[in-house]
Amino acid sequence: MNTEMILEVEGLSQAYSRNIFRKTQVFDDFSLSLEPGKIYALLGRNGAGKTTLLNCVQGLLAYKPGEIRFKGETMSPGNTHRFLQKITSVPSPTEMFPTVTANQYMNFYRKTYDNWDMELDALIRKTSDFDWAKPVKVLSTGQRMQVLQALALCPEPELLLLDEPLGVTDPVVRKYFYKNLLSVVAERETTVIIATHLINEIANLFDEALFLKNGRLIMRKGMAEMQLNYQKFIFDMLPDVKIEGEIGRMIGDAAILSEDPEKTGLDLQTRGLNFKQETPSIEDVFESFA
Amino acid sequence: MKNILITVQLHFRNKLHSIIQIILILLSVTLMLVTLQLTVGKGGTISTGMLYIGGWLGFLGPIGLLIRSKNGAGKFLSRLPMTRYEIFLGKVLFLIIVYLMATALLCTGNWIIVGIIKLLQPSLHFSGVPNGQAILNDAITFFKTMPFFLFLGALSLWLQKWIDSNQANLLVIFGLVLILGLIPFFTVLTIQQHSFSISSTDIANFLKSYGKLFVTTLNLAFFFAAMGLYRLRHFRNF
Repeated sequence: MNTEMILEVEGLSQAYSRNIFRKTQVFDDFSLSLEPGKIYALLGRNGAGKTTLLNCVQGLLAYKPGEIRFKGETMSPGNTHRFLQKITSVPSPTEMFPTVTANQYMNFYRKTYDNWDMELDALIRKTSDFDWAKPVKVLSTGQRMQVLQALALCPEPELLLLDEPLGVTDPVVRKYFYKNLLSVVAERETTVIIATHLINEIANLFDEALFLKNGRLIMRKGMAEMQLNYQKFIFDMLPDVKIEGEIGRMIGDAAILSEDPEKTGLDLQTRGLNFKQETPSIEDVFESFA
Repeated sequence: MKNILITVQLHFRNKLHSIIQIILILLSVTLMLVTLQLTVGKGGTISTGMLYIGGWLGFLGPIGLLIRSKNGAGKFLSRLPMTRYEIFLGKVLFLIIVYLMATALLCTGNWIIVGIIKLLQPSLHFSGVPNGQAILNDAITFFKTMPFFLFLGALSLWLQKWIDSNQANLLVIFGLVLILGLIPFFTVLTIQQHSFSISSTDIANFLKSYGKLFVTTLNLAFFFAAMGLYRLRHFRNF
């Protein structure tokens, strides 16, 4: 078994400039390591640092201090292009050249990357419902996303960075995307980091969820582990006393997520609160940690 | 080299429509000028108003290469396995091809307009019709102007290792303050009686003595302003 980490982030600090004199710190001494062949869900509220992290990994953002290693090798501005043969991403559709056609995009990418999965290329085109000879500007945002998904999957990446890759795509496209993604991961042991807010859709897809909050990794768990460790307590009526923090994390106004169900159940009974207990969904866990 | 050519191709596919549009607008202006002179019955020589673009493209082109919007295509290219120098050189090559293409189309368009009118009215004389010497001079201007700014561009790419976008913005401010401070300082130096009123003669004296230095400093300030506009943090690890 390959125990080498595919990606290691160590002591990462990154700040955005608000103006000449002020900065907004996104990450401060942030560390993370990812194993190969796994799918990671990068979760967190807007502004938690998900996109910033993915941009740092691709070398699109400067960071100081900090170190990012791909398969043990340190990435720097001078050598990032080498790693980008193996790290692909789905950028925002607004970044595309509007008058370039989808076919031309595929041709440019095929020439740029060392590897290209022709079978997957053909499959993605076959399952799409638009003309790839049309320029990007006449394609809908969802169709552009399909082109970008193809551009990210076909170069046979070892690390795939997906930042909201499904936001505006229809359910059929999403189904094919998940299918293609899983086949890529299964065939090539590709590591995937998927940052999305469609968390229920990917609940059965990821191996581990990475919860980010204010630039910090606050939780890292698999779905099964989450369901085993946490229980959701739903109240019959809104509690009139403040219970958050003492016995669990609030999910909205009328439910609580607990790491110690036995203690929480007893505590709630002592307080005279009626409740029912159930296994939380990923969205529940997200809401409580967000 | 392969990556540079891919970048050029991508830029071309993206900008071809805009380039042709601009050239057509310039040729329409030429046609309009000529028609206007013919309509008002201007005698003697008719000017085509041919625009030579070498100086403009040589100066503004390299700055244009660096300026882009937040979600610009430069960011898209930065995700590809290319070095930043390949991306930069791709843009430079693209600029040169644009110059050659625009010059060729402008000259051809001009010759066609003049040719057709000459066929209809052979007695008319035209000035400003592009000839070999003019095209050569313009090309020399372009290739002489461009390298200085490209050098600064390459220098800025290299400097970006140490300068972040904040510091680049500070450089812009520093450059502008320096210029605003230098103008009165140099002007006072050139005033004969050291009075506090500055006449047009004083300004003329100033430009005579320090014109080149002033223009160079101004160019540098413009360049750093362009660098500031260029969102360094969005371009691979700068």
